[in-house]
Parts: sequence; structure tokens; C-alpha cells
Amino acid sequence: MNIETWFLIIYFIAMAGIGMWTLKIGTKNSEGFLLGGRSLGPAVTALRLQSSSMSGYMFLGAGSLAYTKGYFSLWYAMGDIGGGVLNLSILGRRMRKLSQILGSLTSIEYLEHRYPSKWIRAIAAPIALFCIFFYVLAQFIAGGRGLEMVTGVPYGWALFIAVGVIVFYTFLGGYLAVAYTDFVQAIIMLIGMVWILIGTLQAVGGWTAGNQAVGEINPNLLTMWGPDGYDSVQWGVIIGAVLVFSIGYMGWPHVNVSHMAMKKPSVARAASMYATGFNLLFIPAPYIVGIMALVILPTLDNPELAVFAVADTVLPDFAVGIVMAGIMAAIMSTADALLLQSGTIASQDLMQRFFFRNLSDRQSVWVSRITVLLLAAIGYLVAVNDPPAVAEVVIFSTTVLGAAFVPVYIAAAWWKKANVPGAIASMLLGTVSSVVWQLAGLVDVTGVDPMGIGIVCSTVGIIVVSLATQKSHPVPEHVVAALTETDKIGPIPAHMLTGQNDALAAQVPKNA
Amino acid sequence: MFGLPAVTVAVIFGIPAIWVIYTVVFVFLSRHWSAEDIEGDDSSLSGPEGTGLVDPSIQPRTENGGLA
Repeated sequence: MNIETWFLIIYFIAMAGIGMWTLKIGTKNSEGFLLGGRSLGPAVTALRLQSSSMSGYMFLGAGSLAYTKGYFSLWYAMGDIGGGVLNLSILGRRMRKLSQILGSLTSIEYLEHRYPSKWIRAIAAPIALFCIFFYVLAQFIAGGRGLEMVTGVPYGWALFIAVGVIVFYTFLGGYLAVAYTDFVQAIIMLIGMVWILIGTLQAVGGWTAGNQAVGEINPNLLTMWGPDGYDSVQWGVIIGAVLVFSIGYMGWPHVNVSHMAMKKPSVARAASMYATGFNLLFIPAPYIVGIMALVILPTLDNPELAVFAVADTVLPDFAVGIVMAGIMAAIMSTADALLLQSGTIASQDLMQRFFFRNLSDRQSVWVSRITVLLLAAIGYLVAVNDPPAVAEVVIFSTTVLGAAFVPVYIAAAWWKKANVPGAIASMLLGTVSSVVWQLAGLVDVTGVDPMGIGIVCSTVGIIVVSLATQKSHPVPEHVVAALTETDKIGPIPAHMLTGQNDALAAQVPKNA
Repeated sequence: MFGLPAVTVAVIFGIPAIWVIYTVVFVFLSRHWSAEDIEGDDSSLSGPEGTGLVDPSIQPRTENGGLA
């Protein structure tokens, strides 16, 4: 067994250990399992938010984009760097406070409480579940590929091991396990990625020398306009690239749940500094490594393996082991967050809401765990038989999530006139427009990214429909009162707290 | 600079600089958020027995303004 494999085994055991530890404190009730008892401070909040949204894309997709498109690929990084602070500053404090006033435990439930109608959850939950499944599928593939490369184990078995470890510790401790493993994994990811970057720049004789060597292959690779130069630039695609990982974050239910799990609303403030610091150090690195791979490994068959292959080439064996643990950390931290979110949607947002209203906390936790297991099994079968490209799957699923949910989450916290018909129109228009745009091949024809068109449609939808239906579907008084309270900086008055105000405590309408 | 065209340098350093400035401004403008930390005691925040769970026995008084 090589040294890289030993490092990975130690890493897997350490992560499972964290899962076992959180088992004691994370599963006492639904709030414990789903939100970690709303106990997380700024560092864990920020790094969990970042690592759960970075994913295997950063090590496979980002490297691949950089290897094929040069510095053009950094448009994605430019948006990504600000994604954390944007999310925390716009949604963080308000979503934490409003979700507490409304008594929401999941990010989809929060939407139904803010826009009180069963149709909100009936529409939001399947869209989120569908996109999250594809997103988690991409993480499985990335994990399997990474393990295959490091250990030499055939892809099918490597995939099985990766999925098994992810499920194991997600299964154990719920949100707290995911949050703390994500926190540790974010640090490992950062160390691993910076190490690869340093090794890469040393191998090419420094950044300037590396850029000059890339320029000799194709000078356009050094520009922000792509390998075919300025004449071929598509501004719509560039705007979409910046949007997908900046404001797009605010539409990802598995990321937004981080706000609800914060210890206090003001945690968002300190967390924003951690998020920006982490992003500045981490995000550009895989793109730069991918570009430099053109010099180090000019004949790479599979560009998705650029970062893996460069690490294997430029680093000593023991360092490759640590770096590979970092890479697996990125993949697994996103996968576990996604799996937990899927389980939450299935148990809380679908089963308990629509089928079994009297599920106990314990039963609900078990429904969540079984869903995790089921999705992992389906994901494994798809990933092992016909694995699609990681970057394509990630960008597509995150685009749809962003287009469907960004306006409803922002309006939920900021706009008192946003009502149920507006939210439904927004989610449907965002989803349909972005999916149709992508599947119909309109990106190439128009030069406009599906994220851009999806966000525009969903934003116009919520504004126009909400304003047009204010008289027929006014926002309930208790929601307006909760929003007014959220506007204020200060403790929540006792009469607004869940359990002490009937209207706020029981959000589900009688006849819903 | 760094063997890159000027526009590339401007973009890859300029946009991150904007995000850093955004973060600093946000942290400055939100300095009064600590006023919200008075609520500290979690048991007072999360409803009955500090669970934060909705009591299923409580029925709503307010109908929704939506489609349900």
C-alpha cells in the first residue's frame, strides 16, 4: 500500500471519528439533527458554508476549464470569491432571525413559513431534491476518480469506498457531524490546494515564467477572452460565469441552511471575514494549477484530471497523500452536506409535511437517514455505469438551483410584498427558463448563459406577480410582523418567539 | 506584469479587491449587530424547553394569503 493510501485511510478514520463524537450531541431531536442545535460560531459557519459549496468541482471542473480555456476560466473564480460574503451579508442575519421567529428547521420549510402555502413546499422540495441529486452525483464521480488515481483501485471499487465513507458519517451525527467535518475539511482543502499551487509554480520556474510558457502554446490563453481571442467572446456567458458562483449561492438550500444553524444572527458578520479570507487563498489556486498543467503535462488525455495529475507529478509522495486527502475533503464535504439536505427535504419537507404529520423526532431522523442511504445507492449505480462530466453536471444543477431560488430567498428576507403567487411564479419561471435554455442549446445561439436568463425570469416573476396579486393574496399579518421585527437590530421580543405566539408557532395553514 | 496582458491582471486582481472592500464595508456597517447578542440564552430563543420545535398541537389563527 502506498503512502498516499495510508494518508487517506487516516483521514477517513478521523472524519468518521468526528461523526461518532457528534453522535452524542447531534441527534437528540430534529433541531439537533437538522440544525446542530443552532449552535455554530463564525469560523465553523463560514468554512462549512464555503467547503460545502466548493466541492469536487474545484479539483476536477476548475482544473479542466483552466486547462482548456486558460485565464478565461477565472471568470468563475471572480464571482466565487465574493459568494460567501454576499450570501452572509444579504441573507445571513435576516434568515437566521426570521427562521427562528417562524420556527423553521429546514431551508425549504422556511420558504413555506414565509410564503404560507403547501404549494411552496410542494414545488420547492422536488426542484431542490432533483438538482441536489445531480450535484451529489458529481461529487461521487469526483470522489471515485480521485481514489482510483491515488490508490490504483478500479473505479467501481473506489467509488464504492468513497460513497460508503461519505454516507457513514452523514448517517451518524446529522448536521453537527457535517458542519464539523466540513470545518476540518475546509482547512485540509486549503492546505492541500496551496501546497499544490506552490509545487506547481516551483515546477514551472515561477508564475511569470509559467505564463510565458503558456503564451507560447497560445497567447489567447493568457487573456480573459478564451482560447479563440476577443472576437469570439460571449459577454452573456461571462456574466453568467460570474453570477453562477456569486449570487447563485443564495439559492442553494444546502448552503442557506448554514444561516439557520448560526448561534446568533450577528455570527454572519464575523463569518463574512473568514469566508472572504478563505476564498482569496483557495479559489484561484486550482485554476492557476490547471493553466500551468498545460506546461507541465501538455498531452493530458483527460483535462478533468489536471489538478490530480499535476499534484502527482510535482509533489513528493508524502505530500501527495496529504494533498489527496485535501481533494477528497472538498469532494466529501459537499457530498455530505448535499446528502443531509436531501434527507431533510425527504423527511421534513415531504414525508412529514404531506404524508405522516405525526412523525416523532426520532422517526423523522430515521426517514432522513434512509433517504440518505437510498440516494447514495441510486447515485452509486448511476455513477458507476455511465458517469457524466463533473463540471457540466455541477454547473447545470447549481445554475437551476440559483435560478429557481435566489429571488425567493432574497425577497423572503427583504421584501414585505413578496407573496405566495409571486414566489411560485418565480420558482417555476426560474427552473423552466434555465432548463429549457440549456437543453435547447440556446447558450451557443444567443451567447447568454442559462443562469443569467433564469435569474432575470425568476426575478421578474416574483416582482410582477406579487404586485399584481397583492389584493387577492395579501401577505399574512403575522409574516409582515415577523419581517418588521427582522428589520430591527435587537433581541426578539418574547411574544414573537415560537411557542408563545399561536400564529407564528403553527405556520401550516389549517386547510393547506 | 507576471507575463500577463494588462486586462487580465486588472481583472484577476481588481475584482478580488472589490470583494475585499465589500467585506470591509459590510463589517464596518454591521458593527452595531452585536446589540442582537443580548438574546444569548438559547433556552429563551427556541420555544418550549429550548427545543426550537413547533408545537404540533397549536393550531394557527391566521389563514395564509396564498393559494392553499
